[in-house]
Amino acid sequence: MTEWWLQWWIGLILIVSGFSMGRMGPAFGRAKIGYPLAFFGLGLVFFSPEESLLSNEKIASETIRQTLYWAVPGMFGCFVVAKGAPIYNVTRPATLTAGWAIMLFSWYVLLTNYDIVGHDVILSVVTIAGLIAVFFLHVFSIRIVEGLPRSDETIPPLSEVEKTYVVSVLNRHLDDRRD
Amino acid sequence: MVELFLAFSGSLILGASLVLINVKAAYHPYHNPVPLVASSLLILGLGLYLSIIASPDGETALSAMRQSTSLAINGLLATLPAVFALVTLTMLGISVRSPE
Repeated sequence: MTEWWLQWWIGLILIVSGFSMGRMGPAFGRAKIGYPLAFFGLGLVFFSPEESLLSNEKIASETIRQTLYWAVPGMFGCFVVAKGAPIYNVTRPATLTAGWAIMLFSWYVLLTNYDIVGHDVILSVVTIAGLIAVFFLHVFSIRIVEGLPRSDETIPPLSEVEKTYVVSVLNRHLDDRRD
Repeated sequence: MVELFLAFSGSLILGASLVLINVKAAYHPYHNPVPLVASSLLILGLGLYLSIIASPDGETALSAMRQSTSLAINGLLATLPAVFALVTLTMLGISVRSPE
């Protein structure tokens, strides 16, 4: 048995890692490589060979492929619609129409190619219940740790790089308000 | 019933793994990762134990973990059309609102 199944799992881990690196943490400390890494992971998952995957992995791999076909245009459509939506007396009807065209295309792909009724609803409910249980277990553990007596260590002041960043952000926002 | 038990144990493994990967990938000096890592490892162990119990005899721990976690991924992916429907309704809401 070959070990190509690792490609599928490494791809999934890279997707989560890339998104975490690109989106989480302080703004000045976010890694630029995050989103490219997530796309690379997506590529690994999409092009992973199926022969060494287990039965459930094969189903999940196929579902991911089917999902990508409608989710990618759907997410792009949402982005374009959000760009074209009326805000502060500014309307962009052309952008809005283009966004809705992409969204409708995404729904067309979803309804014609994706097997919605083929999935087990109870399976999804149980999975969501498990994830909610994980969430509450984490909240519970954090509450316990936060409730423990704290040490007397003082928080170090901002570094010069952080100070420069905070000043630039404040200046940028103040300039926007003046405009 | 066994499949649902596997899906639940897989969702525990999946949730704990997501938190562990996130803590490692998004680590920064202003964050104390110890409670999250400790609780994640605990939940991961529990999920692995449950998946081994639920799996057929003769399966290794690795196979049990792979089967249950991929089942949970499948269950999670099946909810995405519903999520997309909600997002579409939200997009409809922001598209038809009058300019402020």
